[in-house]
Amino acid sequence: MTSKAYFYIKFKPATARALSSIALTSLYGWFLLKFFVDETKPVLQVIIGILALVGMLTAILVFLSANGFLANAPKDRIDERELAQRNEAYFRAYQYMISAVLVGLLAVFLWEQSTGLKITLHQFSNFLTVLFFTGLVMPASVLAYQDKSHVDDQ
Amino acid sequence: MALHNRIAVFRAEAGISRKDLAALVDVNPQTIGFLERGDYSPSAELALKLSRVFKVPVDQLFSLDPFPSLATELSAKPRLTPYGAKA
Repeated sequence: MTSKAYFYIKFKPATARALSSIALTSLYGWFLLKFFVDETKPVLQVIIGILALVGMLTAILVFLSANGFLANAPKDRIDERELAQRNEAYFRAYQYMISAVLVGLLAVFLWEQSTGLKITLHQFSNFLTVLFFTGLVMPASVLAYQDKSHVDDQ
Repeated sequence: MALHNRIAVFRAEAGISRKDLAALVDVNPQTIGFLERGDYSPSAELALKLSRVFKVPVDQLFSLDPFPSLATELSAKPRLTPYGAKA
């Protein structure tokens, strides 16, 4: 391991887990509620705006956290246990991405079969945005949920 | 299969902190905590580094079977009487 300094925010494990949950819930909430919004529903528009803001801000915080650092750190900056944890986290994130795309494709198929409506390019763009942000924070989120460190470890 | 170890015992006997031991074997101090609790099984390289720090064979530090408690080991050893003869 090298001694070069890196910047990250050290949250308590419970805080890191809470931030991850808020980020993922807000981003998916934003994506799903966008299906029901139009000009006649200003309250829903405000809620969607808040969800987008909260989702992206918490996603950035998760990305800048110690777990985010561990997920993206150079290999020589982490030890073998952290590398093993990171490998597992990326495998979980990969499983999540594949599952999300499969569920998305199935949902589009069912939506078109039941309503006869086609998914718009804008909705598809929203789906890619939510996949991008959730995929970005997923390894750090998995690391936060699998964190077994104790207070006296330092 | 779980890998048992006596890192905490040897570290206490050597009187070194987790941070110092971590620096000696080039890992994060948290990793020493994970090892001592049995939450992580080390690579052969790390196991050998730890045994070198404590100057003991690796099989005295790690085992596939649980180690007997210190009390059991001490009570199994022959005791000396006050006059130096074996009891």
